Amino acid sequence: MRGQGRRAEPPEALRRILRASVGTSEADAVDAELAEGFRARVERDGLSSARRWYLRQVVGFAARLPLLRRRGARPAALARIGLEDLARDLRWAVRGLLRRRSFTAAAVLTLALGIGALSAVFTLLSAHFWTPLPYERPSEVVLLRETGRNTTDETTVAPGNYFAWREEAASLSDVAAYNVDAATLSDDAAAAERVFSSVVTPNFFELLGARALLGATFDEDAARAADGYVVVLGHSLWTRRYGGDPAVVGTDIRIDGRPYRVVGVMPPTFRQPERDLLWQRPELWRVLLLDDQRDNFDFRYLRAVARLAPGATLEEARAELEGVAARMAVAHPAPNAGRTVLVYTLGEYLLGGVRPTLLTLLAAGVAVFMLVCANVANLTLARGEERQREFALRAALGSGHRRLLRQLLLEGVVLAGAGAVVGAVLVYAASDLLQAVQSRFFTGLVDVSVDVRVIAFTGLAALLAGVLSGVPVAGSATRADVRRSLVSGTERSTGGTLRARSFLVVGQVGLATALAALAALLARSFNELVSVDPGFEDAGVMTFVLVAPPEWQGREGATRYFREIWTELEGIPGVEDVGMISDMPFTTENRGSELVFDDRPPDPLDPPGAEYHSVTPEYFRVMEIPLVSGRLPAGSWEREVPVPVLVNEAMARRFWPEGGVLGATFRRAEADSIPLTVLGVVGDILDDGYSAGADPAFFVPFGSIVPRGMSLVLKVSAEPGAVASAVREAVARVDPDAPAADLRMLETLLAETVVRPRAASLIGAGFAALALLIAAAGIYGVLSYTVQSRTREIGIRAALGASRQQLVAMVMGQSSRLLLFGLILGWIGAVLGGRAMAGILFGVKAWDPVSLTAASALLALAGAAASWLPARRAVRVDPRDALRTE
Amino acid sequence: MGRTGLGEFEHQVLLAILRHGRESYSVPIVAELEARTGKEVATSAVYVALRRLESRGLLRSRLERPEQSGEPYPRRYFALTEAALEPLKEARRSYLSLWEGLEPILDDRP
Repeated sequence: MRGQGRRAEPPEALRRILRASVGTSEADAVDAELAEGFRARVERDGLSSARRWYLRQVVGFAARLPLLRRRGARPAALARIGLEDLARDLRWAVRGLLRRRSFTAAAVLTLALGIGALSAVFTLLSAHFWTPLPYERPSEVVLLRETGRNTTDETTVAPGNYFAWREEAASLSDVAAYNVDAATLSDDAAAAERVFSSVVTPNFFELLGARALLGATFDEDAARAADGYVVVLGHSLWTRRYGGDPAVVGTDIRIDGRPYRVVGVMPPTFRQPERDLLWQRPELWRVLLLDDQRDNFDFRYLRAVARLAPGATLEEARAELEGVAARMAVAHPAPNAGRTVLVYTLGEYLLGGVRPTLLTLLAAGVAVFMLVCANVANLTLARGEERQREFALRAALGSGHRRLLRQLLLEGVVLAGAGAVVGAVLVYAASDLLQAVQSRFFTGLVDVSVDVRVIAFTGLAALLAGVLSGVPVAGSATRADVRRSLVSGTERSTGGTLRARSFLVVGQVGLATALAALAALLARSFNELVSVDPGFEDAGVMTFVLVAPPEWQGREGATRYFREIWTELEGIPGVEDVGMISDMPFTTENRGSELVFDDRPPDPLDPPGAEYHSVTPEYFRVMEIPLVSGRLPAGSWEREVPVPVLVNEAMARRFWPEGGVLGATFRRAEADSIPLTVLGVVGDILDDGYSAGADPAFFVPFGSIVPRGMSLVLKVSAEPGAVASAVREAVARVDPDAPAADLRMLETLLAETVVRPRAASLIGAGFAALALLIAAAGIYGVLSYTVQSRTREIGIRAALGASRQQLVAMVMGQSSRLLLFGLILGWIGAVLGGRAMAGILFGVKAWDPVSLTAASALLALAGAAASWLPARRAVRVDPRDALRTE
Repeated sequence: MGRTGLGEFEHQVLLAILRHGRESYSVPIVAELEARTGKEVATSAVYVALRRLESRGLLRSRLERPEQSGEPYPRRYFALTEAALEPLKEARRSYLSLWEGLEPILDDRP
């Protein structure tokens, strides 16, 4: 600064306010010039007077802010597109809205609900369809699966085919394979625990473009040198079990009883490209070396992921891989005939399953949004009636129709803008809830975020809402009869408006009916789904997974281990019965086998097959699965030849339709060819979840097929919490290195398989309730307005002797007509919507009379309730008052 | 809906600039207005008027940077355009014609 220290300067705080008000481009000049004026005034009038002057100037600038911000070029540009008075119209609109507080509050709140609901749905959609999946150049990444024999059903991949694809397909730059499983961690860092894990070929991370947060991902040579005993940790495991200590990299940890060298830690954002929420987040990765698996075409246990070669398209890859699959079917007909390959983009595979639910949500959101627009249009129309004279006056003063129209649309947009702000705040406040909905019901691959896209969408929705809700009133206002309005001084031109408002109400009732019917449909579908009899009893059954630690070597050791566990569990007070099975129903795990019947000719192209489970006979008692015929094996710990097996009814029907199942013999094609003899038939259960059917399956005694991992089922008669801790202690007594994993009640397990339909049903009900409320408000608004504007007519009728019943009938008659038309519209909407939703419905038809009737009854009830107050008001009209209202 | 006439304050601002010769900036304009009218003038009002007149093409402005002027801060100078002369003349003409013959009535006023 050039002046001397004693020279007076304006107060710094005010200066800052001034600079902030004026904005950047002119701030320096204005600041300097006012300071100059300040100094001149100090000389002339003294310091305190100059300060007061300066304060007045700053206040002046702040007050004139909008006028000052308008820079030279802009007015000209606005004038060119005919918007030169936009700022003034905007001020008018705001002022007018502020004058009618209750109207504005009602409209803004309604709009906020509608815009908020739509934006919330959009937030979910945006996360799913427009957020890149967390991989490098995700559009190049494809997932490869085999088909089942002679079907298009997806199955996992045999190692031999993985090698063929990797080596022969030029349209793929690389192919990686992996499998998901579980692993037991038993080192000194914490108590033993069982975690989701994955085995991956060494190129897996590099193919996806995923880099380690600490250390490195797998290197093929290093992995081979370590005999495959290397592990990459997931971020959650690293922080939870190892306290986020970077020093764990390079050390050995114990997995399934063996030491593995930690080579890296993945960042928290890395996800396995899987649909299942749990499988998306393995907590550790081990390396999968398939060198000795090159000729294995029989066991399909891999999942493959590939990256398209530069310039190659999905179609080229698909065609080329189908060619490879056809050659493999010729080269290895027994395992490969009738099978081909499925190529999915990441989006198709990972998010395809949630698309119908999301689109249903979108439709519901749009419907609620439209309802809200109709309601606000209705409110605005009512207000427009009161303003007929204002419009007429403005028209008489030379304001053109276009100008008036613009003013009205502007008011709508201002209203909607305010609604959007409130709506956006609502969505922002609910973003944690949305994230919870997202990660619980849809996918954990991408997170929802209320970002620029959502804000932009909210703005667009608001603009649309403004226009939609402003159009009807604009139409009616510009038709206003200038002369009559001005001369008569009353609002007579109600015919057109009433028609417009009735039309809106019919639309609202229609939308609300459709939404309510579809929500009822979803609820019924959900209800049907969970009331399907799974074939077993889930009440009072506790279940958990246990894997025999490696110290219990061989089948001998595993048998001893589970026998000791069984004895320990039997001794727990409150445990009535203990059974075991190799894989629980309603979990995705399954083992299948092709079968050989000695008395039938083999069919190599379509060999018979069935799922099988290793069980103890108590399993059927605990689960209350009925024995249909024959008997249960007496014991289960010893190996018997021939193996006594149980088959389910589906298997008995499929392979012995004529009867004679008891005592029949068959063998597993790939196994040791030990004959299996059917000892009994048990009831069918739904093994793969409520919506799946019962597939042929047979049950082998534990002593004959000894898996290292078993699910235990306990019939519990005491408080589950107490039993659970007793179970954990019992398991630890046998071997502290094997934790009881996934310990929970069977009911919980079942509920978790239907979270998505449950969510759809709950959210649908929420939207329908909102729609019902809005539609009822619409009906109420129109009827009370009609009664009000027909007060005089009602009075005359009453004076001429119309009874109360007749007056009520008059009002209710009008509402019934609106309702009826609305319901018809709604039925059409519901049937069309139901068809579109057919993919996510279960056990109900898209055209569901029960849902339609329920929704119609609900709407009729709401309509009657909404008509009641106006009808009562009509009855109370005093003829004398009515005739004076003119 | 652009206006053609001059508002009273705009009229005064244009005259104040003219009195300073070719061009002027806000401080001397405010000083001139206050001296001539005997009332305090809000600087911001002058700014608004200047900006409006500029957007109507009656004024043009230039921002003088410190390195050009030797002053410590930039300063915006305003000058009348050709287009300003016509409305000024018009305003003067109408005022004069309105005053014609009325002076004696008000002569006794202080």
